[in-house]
Amino acid sequence: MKNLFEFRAVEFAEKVHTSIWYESAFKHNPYLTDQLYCHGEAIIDLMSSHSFDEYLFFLLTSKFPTQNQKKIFNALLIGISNVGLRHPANRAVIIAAASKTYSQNLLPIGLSILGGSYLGADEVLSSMKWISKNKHRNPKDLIFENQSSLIQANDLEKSQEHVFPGFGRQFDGVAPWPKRLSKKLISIGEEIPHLLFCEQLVFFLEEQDNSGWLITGLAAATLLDLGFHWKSGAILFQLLATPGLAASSLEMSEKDYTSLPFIAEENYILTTSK
Amino acid sequence: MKNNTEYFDKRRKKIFAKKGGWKVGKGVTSHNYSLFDDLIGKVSYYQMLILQVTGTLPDTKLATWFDAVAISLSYPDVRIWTNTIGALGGTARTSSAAGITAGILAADSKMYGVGSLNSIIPFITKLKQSNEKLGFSSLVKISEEIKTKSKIFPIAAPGFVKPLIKGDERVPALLKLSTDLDFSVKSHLGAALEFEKIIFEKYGEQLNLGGYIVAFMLDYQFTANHILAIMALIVSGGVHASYIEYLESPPESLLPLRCDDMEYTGPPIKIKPEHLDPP
Repeated sequence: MKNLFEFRAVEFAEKVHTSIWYESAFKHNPYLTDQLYCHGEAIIDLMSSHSFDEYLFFLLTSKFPTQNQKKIFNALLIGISNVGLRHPANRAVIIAAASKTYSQNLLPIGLSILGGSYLGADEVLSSMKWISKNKHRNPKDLIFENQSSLIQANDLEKSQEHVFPGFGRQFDGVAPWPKRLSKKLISIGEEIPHLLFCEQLVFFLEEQDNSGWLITGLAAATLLDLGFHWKSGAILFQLLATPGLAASSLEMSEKDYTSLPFIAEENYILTTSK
Repeated sequence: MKNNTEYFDKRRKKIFAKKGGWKVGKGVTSHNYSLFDDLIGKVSYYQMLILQVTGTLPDTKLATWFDAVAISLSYPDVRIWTNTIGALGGTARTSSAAGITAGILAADSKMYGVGSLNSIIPFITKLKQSNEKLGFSSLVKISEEIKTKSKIFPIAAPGFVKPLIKGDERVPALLKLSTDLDFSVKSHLGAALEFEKIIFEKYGEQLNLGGYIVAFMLDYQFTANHILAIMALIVSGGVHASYIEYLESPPESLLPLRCDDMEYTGPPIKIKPEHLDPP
């Protein structure tokens, strides 16, 4: 039995298929692009007909945004362009840039760290999935069913574990910044059932668990209100956060390694020593 | 509400290190081993790596097994997805670190590589527990529950199917090596091999390398976190080979694509007469 190894009967595509991009070939050389089209529209025309936020929404969804979507998308692009100056992803690019990592590696480093399930892209995906599944439930019931998670969250070391993906405590408290962002988004958007559901959830979470919005939950609810599928959450969060990581990378690339703190010997405490 | 930030305050500007560290002028320690006195020239790379992750220095036998696993994951075939990415890094003149780690990162996949171990670990654990508690018939029952309607994979059994081929030629080679090294088949690998008999008869599917690695490592007391950490870079050999081959070849030399090699399936293209003007 062990010597039976054979190719699986799978048919592979002859070509890669895409419904987004079309590159028309240059008549003198089939390898060279003459014109580039995005969802049927010429990039050359889009360059003068639309703003970048309209184009980005179109690129990602194949539809230009409605006025309401444009307002929300634009606000989100600005609101979470910096996912947090002290977020591990931003700290990673600061350290890499000041320690002279080649600049072309800085964004991949930041985005890799931003991929995590704690305040990162993986959490946004999980949060979008969770919100999609639970948005018709009564938030009070959801909290009641998760009482054990809430009790566990009272343990200080474990308090960083999120009660629901996208919602929890930071440094043992309710994070005010994502709450402010949520209020702003709710004030400018219409047709925002996911944001409103989460707002209700957070009302009870604050009351019962001293926890609330996280930046990931905020991104998740807003992306759902913009019509994105939960599976797109990780990629979109990384995309939205890229400008802030780029700015920190650029700023810190100009500095040298002494512009970072370095922990002194007496403050590096070995808990297992020979 | 007043927040309790004592835990965080204690750690501001201080590191409490369990693993080890560097005391300038005195040396470097890893889990109480001196890097210079106890490790350099005395242990292999994999012994060091496992020590760093687990805190236990494994014997040379186990290190030989890990070496063999790394070699068995180092096919220098550019068609393998991780390797293609490394090769693309070579053609794009990406730095060695960026090109090769991009290829390695691709192995963080639901279908193959270290990423696939996330689903293999609970599945092998389930087989072991089921076999121990309920015996062979429970494995037969699981083999029924995992049937799929997929045209590609007849079963959804993490650790037991491979995307390109049926069977996995690396598993018999490693099973032979582990016998030669006197490693016994314990409860996880035992359950996996029993399960393999069932699914081979029913579906023609076999244990794959990921399933074998996980079963072996669980048998030898590695935790899930430790398995995932130790295996993070394991595909690197083939990626290194593919990267360097295409770094040393002309740009665009890897499967050159013409415009019409990408099939457009989207909405009608809005061509205007001026689009056809010479650039």
